[in-house]
Amino acid sequence: MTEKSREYGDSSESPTVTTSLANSTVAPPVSSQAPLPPPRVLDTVWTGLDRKASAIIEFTSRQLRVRSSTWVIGAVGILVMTLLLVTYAQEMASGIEPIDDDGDSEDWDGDGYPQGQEVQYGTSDWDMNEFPGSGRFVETDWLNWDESNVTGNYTYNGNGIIEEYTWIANNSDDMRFIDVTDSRACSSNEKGGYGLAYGESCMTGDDEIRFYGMVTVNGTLSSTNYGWLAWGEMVGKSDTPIEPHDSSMYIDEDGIDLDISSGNDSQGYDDDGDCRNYDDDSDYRDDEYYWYSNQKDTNGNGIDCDVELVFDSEGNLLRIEADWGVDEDPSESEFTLESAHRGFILAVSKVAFLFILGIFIPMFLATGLVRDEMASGTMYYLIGKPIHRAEFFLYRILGFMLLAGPYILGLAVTVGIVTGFLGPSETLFRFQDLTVWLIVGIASALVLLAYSTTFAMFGVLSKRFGAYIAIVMGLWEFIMAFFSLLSGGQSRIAWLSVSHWGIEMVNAAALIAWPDSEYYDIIGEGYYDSADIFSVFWNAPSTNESPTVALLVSAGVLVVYVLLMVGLGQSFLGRREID
Amino acid sequence: MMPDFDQVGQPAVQSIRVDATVPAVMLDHVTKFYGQVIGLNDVSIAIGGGVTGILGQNGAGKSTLFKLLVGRLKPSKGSVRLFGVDPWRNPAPYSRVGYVSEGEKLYDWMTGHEFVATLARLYGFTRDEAGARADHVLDFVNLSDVAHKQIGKYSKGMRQRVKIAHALVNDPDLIVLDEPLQGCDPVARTTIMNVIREIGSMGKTVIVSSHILSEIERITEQIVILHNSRLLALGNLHKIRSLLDKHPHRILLRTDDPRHLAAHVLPLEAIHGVRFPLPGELEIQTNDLNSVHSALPSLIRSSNIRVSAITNPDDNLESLLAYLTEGRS
Repeated sequence: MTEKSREYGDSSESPTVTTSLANSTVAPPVSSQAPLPPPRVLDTVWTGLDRKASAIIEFTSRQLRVRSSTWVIGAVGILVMTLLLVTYAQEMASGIEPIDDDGDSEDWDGDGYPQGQEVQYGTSDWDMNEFPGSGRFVETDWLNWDESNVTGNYTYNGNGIIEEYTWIANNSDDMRFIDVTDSRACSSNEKGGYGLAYGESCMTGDDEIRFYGMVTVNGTLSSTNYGWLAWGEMVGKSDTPIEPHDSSMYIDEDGIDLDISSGNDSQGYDDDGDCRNYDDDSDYRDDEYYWYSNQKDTNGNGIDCDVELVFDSEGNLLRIEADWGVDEDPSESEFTLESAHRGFILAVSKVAFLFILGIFIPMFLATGLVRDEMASGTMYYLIGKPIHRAEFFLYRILGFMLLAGPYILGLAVTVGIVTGFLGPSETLFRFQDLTVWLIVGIASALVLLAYSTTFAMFGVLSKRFGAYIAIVMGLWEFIMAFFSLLSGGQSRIAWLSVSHWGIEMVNAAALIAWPDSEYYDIIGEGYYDSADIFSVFWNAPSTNESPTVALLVSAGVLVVYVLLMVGLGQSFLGRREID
Repeated sequence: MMPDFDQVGQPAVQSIRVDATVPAVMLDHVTKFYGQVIGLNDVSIAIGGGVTGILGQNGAGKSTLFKLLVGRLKPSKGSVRLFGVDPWRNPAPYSRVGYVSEGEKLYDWMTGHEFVATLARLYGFTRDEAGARADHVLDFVNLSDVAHKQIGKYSKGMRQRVKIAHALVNDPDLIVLDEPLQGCDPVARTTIMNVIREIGSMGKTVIVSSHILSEIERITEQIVILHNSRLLALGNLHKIRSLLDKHPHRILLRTDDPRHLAAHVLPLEAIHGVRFPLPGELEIQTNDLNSVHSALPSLIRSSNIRVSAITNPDDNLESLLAYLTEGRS
């Protein structure tokens, strides 16, 4: 008692007696009740904890269920997943439209023959007058700048003047050749070599014929200072017309013939023959071939018409370098559909499950797990019991997980079942995907746990600013997730985020379930550029080359992180005054 | 050991043993600061057995005292013991404590029964036993008929009673009630006061706070008075009141004819003055409140003057505090 306080009267305290309410006969209602059995407080430490834990877990789960915000977030998640699944189902149902990756189904010169057919016949797809059966000009020599004229019986091609001739062929049905029956006089421009269209000619007035195009003649011809005149012969001319091929013959005509697991660095086969049949001795008829010294070995590995696999010193495949025209137009329906299916699973797993649901659900629902109780003044109902605050913090998190965990797992199972049935497969269901979904479920649960403990800890740390800190953390995680995706998991700063380790788990899961993931990744990048969804969303695990080790390490990091956050949250709550 | 999935369990003993030699509550030179503001200043007190009223005006430190008792706050100085254990460090004594805070917030989405039963499980009770205990204590506070109604639909008095029920569900040895009557209507007040008295009569230690003297007077004689964060007085309320009664007191009578009534009462020796503060009012000044109150009924009857109300304006906490702090500050 303090010195200043005074004591009045008889302040003797009545004896401390423990009387069960059950045994009381003071309150009339009590007497009408059957006596209660002796109190059962704790059977054992374990069952006692178990009862308290289940009470708080159930309570927390129910508390979240009665909140409208929980239902809104849940509904948004289901809506997003439904939209994604509808898009996926549409893609799978409509199939993948075959794409002419090498462009040889196109008819660039408009002569009715696709480029692939023109390549086979050695004709140009830039000249509508040169097509299979039309014959093509094969050059013997050309008039040098210091040579005044050439004499002989040849087919001439270029810009020249027929000074005199003894015989001239009439090829007026071929638009590349001059029309010898046309004896119109040249204009002043045309006399100088200007203004003539290809295949045109005119008389200069000195019984000379100025032409631009081709002519088969026995005579003496000269060129001009600026002109170019070559001579040779026409080859491949067919007496009977050759029918144009259907352009669809040149789509998906050169499938990918690789077996990366074999480890051979020279693979691939030119199915359509546009590399194998290429004639090195022919002229540079197509601009596309002009720049290469050896058309059959554009990857420079000394082997014609192959695909070179470039490995690093540790035997990891770095890239694929194909010779021109080899494996250049693979079948989309075989590769891209599978790639799109896998890419969808990875995209949904990483973006929808790990980033969006993984971050937003805890941000909205877990930040206030303890903070809201402190703010609303209801905290003492829960902690004013023989229960340690550290236990309370843990059980609140578990209560949240009791609701959020099945929700996430339910969504994962639903998406897994739908994609399992709709995905490309020879069987009714893609059982190989189950491994991925199982690990995605575990990764999502771990990420949920990591974020919920973090955000709940922030809520305990600061009643006022906890939510803001959680938002900043969420932004950080979002940015780090994209860092991790874009850097292929190599960004070390991303290692400081929860999202990176979640992504790493999914990458490892993909490699375990689909051992040819690297193949798909490189094929996607090598043949389909960045448009390939699988290559965008999958990277080889950066922690360890063994996917199992990478998976265990990532899961271990997340578990340690969760334990750390739980410890911090418990510590903060233990020191926190509940005003 | 496997989890107790069925939640039936076996009968067991309490983990904290009752020791009659240890007071339920003991504060030793406890001081609590809120930043620069002092919430409780060097308070030492031991309480055990019966109902003890904590009296004090708003801001006197009652709630701070209670929050320290139940481990919500950590004392800045001194030590707090519940059954000999520091509640800030060890939650074990809570198995013997029931606490009702002054806040009104409850889980409105739960029914009264769910609320009490769920929180009962935090004491380690099985699901079945928690339910049975919830039924029992809700009956004890006369809420059986609305036990399965959502708390959000309860009246103010019902809400207070369900809070008290939750504090009783573990059959505690110490019950701490922070302003349990605040905001309740007269009927609810009477019900709650009866409940508190009944609990006290069972030999439990009940600590109940209020800033209204008459409320505490109806519940207990044992009081502790807090004023300006300090322990001002403690002891028997009647003794304190009798001391107060010896000091100048006012009695206000509402009547149609105050002047004639004054003429009738003035001959009483105990009365040393009268005033007419307002039309129709007579204020009597006395140093012996009891004797005036004893004589007044016969005097009024003999005067044949109609009196509509008799009140004691000085019979409140403020007057008590004014008396107790006389010459101190």
